[in-house]
Amino acid sequence: MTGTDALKHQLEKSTGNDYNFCYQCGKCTAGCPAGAFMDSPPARIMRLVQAGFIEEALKSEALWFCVGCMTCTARCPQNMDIAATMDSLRALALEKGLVSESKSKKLVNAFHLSFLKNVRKHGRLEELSLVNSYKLRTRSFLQDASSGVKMIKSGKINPLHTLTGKGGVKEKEQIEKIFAASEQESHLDVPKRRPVKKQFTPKAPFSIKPGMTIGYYPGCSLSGTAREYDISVKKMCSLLGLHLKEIEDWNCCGATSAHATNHKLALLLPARNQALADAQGMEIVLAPCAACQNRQVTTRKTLIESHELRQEVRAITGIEPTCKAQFIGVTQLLEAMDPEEIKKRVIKPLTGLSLACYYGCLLVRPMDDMGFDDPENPLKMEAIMTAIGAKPVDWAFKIECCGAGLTLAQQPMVEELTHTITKNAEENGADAFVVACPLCQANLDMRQGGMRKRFGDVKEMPVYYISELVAIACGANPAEVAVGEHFVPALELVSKL
Amino acid sequence: MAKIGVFICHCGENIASKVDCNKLATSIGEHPGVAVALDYKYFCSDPGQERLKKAIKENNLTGVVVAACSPMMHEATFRKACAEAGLNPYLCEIANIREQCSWVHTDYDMATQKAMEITRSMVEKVKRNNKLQPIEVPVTRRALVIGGGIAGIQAALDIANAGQQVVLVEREPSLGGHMAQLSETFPTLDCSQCIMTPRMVEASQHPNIRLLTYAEIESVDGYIGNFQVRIRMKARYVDMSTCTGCGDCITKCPTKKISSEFDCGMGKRTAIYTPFAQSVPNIPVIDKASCTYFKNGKCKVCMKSCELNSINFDMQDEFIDLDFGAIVVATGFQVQDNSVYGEYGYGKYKDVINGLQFERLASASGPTSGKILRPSDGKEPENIVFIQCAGSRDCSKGVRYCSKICCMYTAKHSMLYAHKVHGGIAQIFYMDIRAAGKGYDEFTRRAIEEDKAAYFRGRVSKVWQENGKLMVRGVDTLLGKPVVIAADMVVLATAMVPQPDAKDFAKTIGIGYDEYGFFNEAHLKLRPVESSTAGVFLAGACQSPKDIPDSVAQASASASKVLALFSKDKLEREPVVASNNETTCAGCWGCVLACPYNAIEKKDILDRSGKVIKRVASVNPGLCQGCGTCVTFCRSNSLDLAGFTEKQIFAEVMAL
Ligand SMILES: Cc1cc2nc3c(=O)[nH]c(=O)nc-3n(C[C@H](O)[C@H](O)[C@H](O)COP(=O)(O)OP(=O)(O)OC[C@H]3O[C@@H](n4cnc5c(N)ncnc54)[C@H](O)[C@@H]3O)c2cc1C
Ligand code: SF4
Ligand code: SF4
Ligand code: SF4
Ligand code: SF4
Ligand code: SF4
Repeated sequence: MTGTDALKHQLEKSTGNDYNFCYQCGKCTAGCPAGAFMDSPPARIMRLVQAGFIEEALKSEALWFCVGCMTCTARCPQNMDIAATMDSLRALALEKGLVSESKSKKLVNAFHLSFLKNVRKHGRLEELSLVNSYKLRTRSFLQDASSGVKMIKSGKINPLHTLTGKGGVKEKEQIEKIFAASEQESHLDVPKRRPVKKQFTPKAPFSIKPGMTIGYYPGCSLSGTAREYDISVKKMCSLLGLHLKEIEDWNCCGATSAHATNHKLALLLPARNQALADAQGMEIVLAPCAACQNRQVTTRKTLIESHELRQEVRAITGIEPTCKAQFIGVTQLLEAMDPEEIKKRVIKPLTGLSLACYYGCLLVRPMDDMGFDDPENPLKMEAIMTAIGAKPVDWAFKIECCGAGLTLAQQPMVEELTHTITKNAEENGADAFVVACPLCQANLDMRQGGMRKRFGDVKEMPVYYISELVAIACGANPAEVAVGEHFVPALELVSKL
Repeated sequence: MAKIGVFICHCGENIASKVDCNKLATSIGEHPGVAVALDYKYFCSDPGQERLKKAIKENNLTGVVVAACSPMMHEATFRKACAEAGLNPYLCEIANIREQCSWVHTDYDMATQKAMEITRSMVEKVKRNNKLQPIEVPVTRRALVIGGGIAGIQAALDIANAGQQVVLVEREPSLGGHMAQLSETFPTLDCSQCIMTPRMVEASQHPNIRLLTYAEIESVDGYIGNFQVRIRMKARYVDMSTCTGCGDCITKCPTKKISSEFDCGMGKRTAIYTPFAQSVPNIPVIDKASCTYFKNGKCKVCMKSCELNSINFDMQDEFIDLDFGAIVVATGFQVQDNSVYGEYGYGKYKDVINGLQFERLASASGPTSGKILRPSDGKEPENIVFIQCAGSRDCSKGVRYCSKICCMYTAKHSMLYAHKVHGGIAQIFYMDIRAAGKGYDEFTRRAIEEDKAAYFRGRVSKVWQENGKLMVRGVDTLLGKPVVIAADMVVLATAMVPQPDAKDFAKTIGIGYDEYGFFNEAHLKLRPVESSTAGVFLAGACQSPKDIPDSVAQASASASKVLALFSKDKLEREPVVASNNETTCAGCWGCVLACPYNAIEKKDILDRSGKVIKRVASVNPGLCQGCGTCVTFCRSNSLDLAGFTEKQIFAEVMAL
């Protein structure tokens, strides 16, 4: 086997793809939110791999623009996993040192490195130390300085944690073991992918009744930058009569950074949470962050399939995951409660509020794993918004990517993406967004000022968390659920209803 | 004493390169009962057959084994040669040492060994063969053609013009099929209705064609030359014998808002209707599901308006039983439901339509009288984006195969659009342009070079609405760049798929179908118009996606097969049928249940006084297909299959 063949083989093993199956239709490029920013858009990357120009693919800048939204994979007629190819190439590029010397790569890589370093040290993400370390690496101190200050003021970032490491995981040596293990060569093969019929068959909803206690996995963002999501989720649950029990000693799921750079790490970090939740007797765990939920759900699937991985988790944590615990999002929780049950509790219907329900990528993709709602036209959030009296609009960009984890590293691109999304929402009559993911919220909210200044053609649009609106409709005081802490003023719109 | 001759064919190098034919001849020559064993380069050739005949005569052979290719290829040839040499043809058997040996093995010695075993086991069988006579059956000289699209019409006309009787059955109220819906047709751009309507009229007026519209096949029994078919005449609620097709009832019917199937939902029709103006026959039917009278018992406006008293609300479905000698299946295709493409917004945005809907827009008889207007607001579109392979070559959402016609009809659409709307821009996303056929590539080039269709190589990922435009996000893979086009209309070149009921229909008729539901031909290359059931032929798009020239060609080919069949008074059938030993039969009826062809009946054995002393199973040799299922079921070992008796099979196996 030549060097090229070996690399291709390695890619086939880690993605499940057989690259002969790509027939170069280009649908992946057509749907890629970052396609216009890439030197080699996804279809070309696939062709480079197919034709054996792996080195060129590894050096491509495109890898550092890919946001991992999985639109490409979801729509590929030949069932190729393009997103996984991007991930594997990125990991391989780092491993081989074959990376482009461009600015974009440096920025993204710096971000992922800072992120993972931070997680390795604390077990969870300490966001200010992340921002600082990222800025040191990229020397972009002024970017976002004002938002940073606002975050410290509102308590979203706790500067003391950075010094003391107080908010971190207790079993630090387990985290270190995970990182060490993921530096070893991975033997986890991904099942082979071949063209198949892709049909959406909705999973049966869970059933959750008032009075129940369910597990809670806030993840790093809800204990940091997305504090208002945490506050509103807790408030919402108490108004709905649900009790939340946090997973004891949970760690960061690894988020985009692990996923984008190290397949093994991206499995072992969430796997520890799974093991803990299982051991703590949980069956349903609410993971409000779509990114965390997505990581947990896909990892759970791999754990069920792979004996090897279960053994590895046992060696690290001393617990073999049973995979009893299932991680669900807020929309799923509300669906499981039955919209009628919610309707009964509405005190202040949000009549007249026109909303664009924004799902982003991670709530609907990959279809097989997340799949509780139609992947091309999800409607479950709309059902809940209707139940609380608001008016969801019909619009076209609810599953387009906002730029996800590249918010810091590829700011101009994220602005373009959120601009098209916001424009379409506005055009279809929305006054505000409702989201169920802190990444979406950050990109649409924190980036909105800059975006609006740059394009100058969209109005100000508050970005609510689904939990905020449900809590408010069920009687919570808007200020109490921290709506006032958003970047785009959001308090007034809901207060005057 | 058996005197068997064994003839080992080299098949050029096909067999000889892997099997030592000479050695095979020598060793089989020593097998008990073998009188002569010869090898030769091509036994199927004339000199080869002469050798075989000569050996039969010289050695007074009692049986022959030809070790050669599959019996599918030359069993008939060698049996005929035997007959010419005075040997009962059923005393000749083929040992397949090509497909089952030389073609699939690489080791010379082992292949030779295996060829030896195969041949020896056949020798042992032939020793036990009996002389058999072919069964003669009469032929009913009347053909049934199912489906009144262009393929069915063509087949019916060809058979009728040759002087034979045809019954043409169409399940819709009118003949025509999809071709009646088309505007102009590639590659010549002649008007579809103009070339179709005369054919429809001819078929309906032909003295040898009995046309049954609004009719379906209820059941088919029998076999080649002798099919018994029951046809359901669906209640029209209009008396065909008195109705003149004046259309008064249609004009008066107050239920006018029913989406027209013929106009693909873009036009409306009444509850009493003919699908289109030139319908053949031009006699309406009442759509029971939409008719106000049938729904709430009030209305009968049509009845009052009909001066000839032709409306009859009490009409019931009727059945017609007829015998046929041959059946042509021409049930056509459907276009795929595009709502599977959530990302293209079909069904959500009015101006995203499919190719067939575009045909209706472009057709002079269509809802816009041939003007290309957007369904949403009736405006003329300034540009149209066409998306090819929408459902074809996409097994994630649609079908894996290429629908074969959509490259061509999309090029046609772009031309029609350019001709009808001046300055209109057609933009086409495609994966490949497949335009093989007489005048076809020239046609697509013309669309590009003369009518300025802009082609983009790549698929589309999403269509959405913005500012009253349809935004199409695709890719130009030749440039490697994503493309966004703001369009006034989007047309999906939808996949051609089998009729939704194709698989059930195939079971009714007793023919095979592929994984999608297209009917199977007996041999893709050599017997493309025959189904695997003798006497049933295929024509048109029911067998695979086809355009009009191909459908018509296949229809004429089917007709010629039917005519060849009708050129004989009697048919010979292989005598491979089961028979029952009535003295040992216990009457358990296991075989009756087992027989897939319903060929076994219960028979009373009477004593002299006419009293029933015993009931036994009895095989109808006319219906028996020789599958042998009953033999394996029979507990008392009473059933046996001529040509494949248990004795023969055991001898064959034991010789291995
Ligand atoms: C959008 C579009 C554009 C096209 N343009 C062209 C063109 O320009 N040039 C060209 O050459 N080809 C064109 N074609 C292809 C053309 O339509 C087909 O080749 C042709 O219609 C096939 O004829 P058919 O008789 O096999 O099937 P059909 O036309 O489908 O006819 C089948 C008939 O059988 C009837 N039937 C079905 N099931 C039963 C049953 N169980 N019992 C009784 N009757 C039954 C149906 O009602 C129908 O009348 C086009 C196709 C499409 C979709
Ligand atoms: S969508 Fe799939 S088949 Fe098409 S180019 Fe991309 S990877 Fe290849
Ligand atoms: S995952 Fe998203 S950003 Fe990455 S290549 Fe696929 S479509 Fe593009
Ligand atoms: S009014 Fe009577 S004669 Fe005229 S078309 Fe109707 S049914 Fe036929
Ligand atoms: S009964 Fe009335 S609704 Fe029914 S077909 Fe006649 S006129 Fe139309
Ligand atoms: S004929 Fe052309 S458009 Fe139709 S499926 Fe084949 S390649 Fe695609």
